[in-house]
Amino acid sequence: MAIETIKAKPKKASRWLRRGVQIFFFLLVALIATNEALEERGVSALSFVEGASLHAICPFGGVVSFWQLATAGTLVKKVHESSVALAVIALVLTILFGPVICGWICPFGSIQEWIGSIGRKLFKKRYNAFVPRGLDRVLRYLRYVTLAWVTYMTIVSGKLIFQDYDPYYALFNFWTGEVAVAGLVALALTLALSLFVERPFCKYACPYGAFQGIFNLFRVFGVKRVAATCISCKACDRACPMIIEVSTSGTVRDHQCISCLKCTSEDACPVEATVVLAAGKPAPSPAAGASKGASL
Amino acid sequence: MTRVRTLPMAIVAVAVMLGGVVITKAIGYWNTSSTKEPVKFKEGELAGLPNPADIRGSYTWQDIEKAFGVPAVESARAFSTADRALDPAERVSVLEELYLPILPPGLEIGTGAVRLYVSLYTGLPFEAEEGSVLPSGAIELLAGRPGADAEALRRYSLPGAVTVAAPAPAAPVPAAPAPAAPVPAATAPAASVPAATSPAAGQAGETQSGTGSGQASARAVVGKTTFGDLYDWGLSEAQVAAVIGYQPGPRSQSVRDSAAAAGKEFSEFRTALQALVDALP
Repeated sequence: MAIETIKAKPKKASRWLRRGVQIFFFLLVALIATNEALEERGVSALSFVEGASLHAICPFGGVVSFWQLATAGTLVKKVHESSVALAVIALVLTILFGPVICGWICPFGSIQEWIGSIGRKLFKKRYNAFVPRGLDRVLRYLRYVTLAWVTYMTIVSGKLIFQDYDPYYALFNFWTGEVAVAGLVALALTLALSLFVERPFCKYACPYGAFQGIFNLFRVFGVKRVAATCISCKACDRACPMIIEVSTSGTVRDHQCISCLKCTSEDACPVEATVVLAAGKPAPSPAAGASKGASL
Repeated sequence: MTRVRTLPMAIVAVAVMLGGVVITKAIGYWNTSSTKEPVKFKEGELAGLPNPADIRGSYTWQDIEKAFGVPAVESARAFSTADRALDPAERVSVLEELYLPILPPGLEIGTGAVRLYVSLYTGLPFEAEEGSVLPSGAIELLAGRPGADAEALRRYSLPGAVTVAAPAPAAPVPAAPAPAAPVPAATAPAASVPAATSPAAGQAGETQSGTGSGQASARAVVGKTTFGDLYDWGLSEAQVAAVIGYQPGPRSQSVRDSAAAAGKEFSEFRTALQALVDALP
């Protein structure tokens, strides 16, 4: 029965939906940032898109500006109102669905994932399993150290302190000559590590990912496993890029979940309506779920 | 249980992001660049005048002319190199890249140099960053202005590049267009550029007094001065708080960073802090 379900499910569509959204935002950000850099040099080659600095379209600038905005009514240098607006918009999404920004929108997460798909082909089952689990578990809290350091230093200095180390900034500005050596090193290291570990920067260093991850503890729509229909095949565990044990969870509350939905019944899970993104308590049985549950 | 499938999730993600941007644009909050209107001094006799310290790399020479009345064409020419003639519509951020290969290590002509240039041109106070120097074209232009601060010009000249003579009183004055905000007379005295750190000296803590005396002080309040330094010199936390107008930060924090974090300009209270320090035994 379960095998029949596996064969019947059209999984490719959901996978490509997310990839399509990722490609769209990657290209959008690349065009905006490139246009800005070209305009600075007096070149108007991409006039069909509005140029803006990467800081202006990064929601994390709005997050680290919060203290200065609240206490002095001003923004950290290089941060503009657009960053604050994006931070609020992202916050709404995150409270509802968790770190959708990480899993669907962030171009730096996307490029790590795309490089990771090469690593997956090269190393097969060994991919994303090079770091010992014990060490990996500890390292994952490093991003909270980064978040605390960046937030404190930004409050104290009134400057975007992370810019010099930010591989995301380096990715879209490496050719402009405005990127610090530390940023370029961080970029090269992250891209190289992506061949071995899925989303290494997201897992271990991203301060905005750390901030977003907190909301996994109380987001409205969570990734839920319906125990009544689960066949414990652990396909969800194997699919998770962040190595979360979905198969033992009721509702995934792990701070590293990026809401990519790879574990769900629309992708990895072979049983219909067993791992889902949903709000509310799972129905007690598939029959009851079919009759009582609502679906979007 | 209300389930959300992948397609609605994709639509929601895109719609919320783009829709949010459209809404913030509609209400006029969406802004991706600085206004090109520098912050103004808030207190003292300079209250209401634009502050050169707020000039950003995204400013063009024309923006600077509009804000400070410093002529764009002449300024762009003054900062041009032998290989590259700058356009008045060009951003000043290009300077750093332009001069980096030409200058000796430790010296810099970038946005900081533009702030310094505007300060010397207008007489508005500004604390120069360590290592900031001016190109010879700018030095010559400034030297030709009445009341030019010969000492400051010598200090900020490239080593061995230009010898600045005392300005002739009858030197021709470039006709500055009417600035957006009133700017003090271009004949501002040398004292109007206080606390400028000598790039040539290049030593932390050494500053010019701002009166042209050039006397170095071991207890000079400069950009790098921390609250800890002030306490070590003998000031109390209450004294510092009274001057800066808010609770001082940790000992390791520099006063300038603290001012930036509080949305204030260091130059607003640097002089008052220096006066307190100077009054100490």
